Amino acid sequence: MKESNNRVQEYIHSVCNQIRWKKSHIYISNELENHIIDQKNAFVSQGLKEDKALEKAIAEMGDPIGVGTDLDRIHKPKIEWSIIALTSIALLLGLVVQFIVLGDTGFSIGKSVFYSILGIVAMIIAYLTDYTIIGKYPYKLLFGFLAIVFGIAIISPTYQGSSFYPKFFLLLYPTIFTGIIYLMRDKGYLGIALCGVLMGISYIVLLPFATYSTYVLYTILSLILLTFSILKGWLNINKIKGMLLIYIPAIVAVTFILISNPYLWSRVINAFNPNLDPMGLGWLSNMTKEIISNAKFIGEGLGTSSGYMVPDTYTDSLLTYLIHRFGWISLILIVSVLALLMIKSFKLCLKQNSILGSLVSISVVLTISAQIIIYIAYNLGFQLMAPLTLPFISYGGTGLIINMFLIGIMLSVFKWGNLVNDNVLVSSTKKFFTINDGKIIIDLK
Amino acid sequence: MKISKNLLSGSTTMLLLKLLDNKDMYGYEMIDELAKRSDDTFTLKAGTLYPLLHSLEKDGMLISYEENPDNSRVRKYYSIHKDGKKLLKEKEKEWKIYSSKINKVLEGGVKFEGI
Repeated sequence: MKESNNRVQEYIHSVCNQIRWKKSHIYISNELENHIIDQKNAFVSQGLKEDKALEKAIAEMGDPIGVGTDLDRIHKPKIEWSIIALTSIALLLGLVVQFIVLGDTGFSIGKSVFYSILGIVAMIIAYLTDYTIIGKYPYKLLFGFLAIVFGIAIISPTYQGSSFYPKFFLLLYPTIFTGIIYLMRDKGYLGIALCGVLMGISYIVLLPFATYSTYVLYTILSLILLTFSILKGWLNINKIKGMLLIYIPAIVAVTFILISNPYLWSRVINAFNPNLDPMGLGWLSNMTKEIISNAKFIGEGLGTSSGYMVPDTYTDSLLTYLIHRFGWISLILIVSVLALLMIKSFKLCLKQNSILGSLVSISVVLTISAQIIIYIAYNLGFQLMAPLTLPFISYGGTGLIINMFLIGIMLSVFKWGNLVNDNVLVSSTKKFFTINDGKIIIDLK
Repeated sequence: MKISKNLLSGSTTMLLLKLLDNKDMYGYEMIDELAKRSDDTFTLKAGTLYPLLHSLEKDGMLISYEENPDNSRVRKYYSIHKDGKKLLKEKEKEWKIYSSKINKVLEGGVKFEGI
C-alpha cells in the first residue's frame, strides 16, 4: 500500500527536522508523502519514467528547509491561557471562601492551600500526558480504573453510609468511557449495545459502594455523551433508531428501579415536596429553603427561626451558608466565575476537529458542570441528588485534585488543536464478525 | 483572521477558498484544479500550499478530515468552514474594489489618449 521511497523519506525528514513539535511530524509527513506520490503518478501518466517522475515531483515540492520553517511557525502546542486563568480565579476564590468559612468554624486554611498545590500539579501532569491514550487503550483503562476504584473502596473510610473516596475517583469515569464510545464508532448498532453492556459491567462492579446519586449521575452523563455522538453522526447509524436504542432501555430500567425500590421513590417525592417528611428526608431541604428565603442581597440574613444552621458549612452546604452570611451576591459571584469557565471550555470543545478530542473535552465539561448544577440545586433546597463538591470552591482534597486533573486532560486536548486527525470516513464499514476459512473472527479493535 | 503575511499573498488564499467553496479537496487536487482552471497560469508549489492550508485550518477557516474513497490511500481533505466563507466574501469584495480601481486608472489613461 505504502509507496515509500528513500528519496521521499529524505525530503520529508528534512522538512520535519525544522518542526520543533515532534508530535506533529507523523501527521505532516503522511500528507506530504501522499502529495509527492500523487504528483509522481501525474508525471508518470504524462509519460515520464518512474525515477525521473519522482525526482521531478520532489523538486516541485519546494525547498524543504523553507517549508519546514513555515510549518514550524504554525504547529506549536497550544496553551489555552483563558482556561488556566479562569481556573486560577476559581481556585483563588475557593481559597478566600474557605479562609472565611473555615475561620468561622475554627479550622485552619493550611490544608486547603496544600490541596490546591497538589491540584495544580495534577493539572500539569494531565496536560503533559498524551490524551490519545484514552482512545488507544479503552478496555485496559476502563477495567484498570474499575479495579483501582474497587481497591480504593475497600481501604476507604465510610462516611454517611457510603465509602468516602471512590465517589471522587468516579469523576474520571465519563472521560474514560469516551474511549469506549470512540472504539465503537464504526460498529454501528452493535457498538451502542456494547457500550450498554460495558456500562452494565461497570455498574455491577461499583454495586458494593456506589450510591443512587452516583448511578443517576453517570447514567445521565454517559447518555448525553452517546446522544452527542449519535447526533454528530460518529457512530454511523440512523439517528432516530440510535436514540431509541439508548433511551428505551434507559427509561425502562429507571422506571423498573423506581417502582421496585420504595426508599428511592420516597426520596424522589420528597425532593419535590420536602413537607411530606419534614423531620426526616425533608428536614435539611426545608431548613435550607428557610435560610435562603431569609437571606438578603448583600449582608447577613436572618437564618432560621429555630436558630439552627445547616451542617457541613464548608463542604456540602457551603453556598447556603455563604448566601446566609454575605447575601445572594456571593452566589452570583461564584456562579459567574464557574459559568464563565464552563462556557469558555464548551466553546473550545465545539471547535475540536477530532472525534476523540471532542468526546474527551466534552466529557470534562459535562462532569464539572454536573457537579456545579447538583451542588447549586442542593444548596437552594432541591436535594434529589447528594452533592459531590462545588468544583474548585468547596473544601475537599480528593475532589479538588480530580477536578484539576480533568481540567488538565481538557487542556491536553486543546494543546493538540486539530492536529489529531481521527475523523476518518470509512467507506466500507468494518465488520465485527467475519467468517474466514470456517473460523469466526471477532474484531474488537 | 490573522494570517501571517509572509506566507501568502492574499489572492492565493482567495483562490484556495474559492476552490474549496465548490467542494472538499485534498492538497494535490487543489494544485491540479487551480492549474486547470487558470490555463496553467497559477502553478502553486506544494511548499507554499501546505503551510497556507495548515494556517487557515489553525485559524478555523478550514476543517480537515481524512477519507479513503477508493480504498487506496487515506487522503486529508479540506472543507471550508463558515468563518472561511466569510473571509472569502471579504477577499472577493476587496479584490473587486482593487481590480475596478486598477481598471479605472487604465481606462482613464486610454480615454485621455483618445481625446
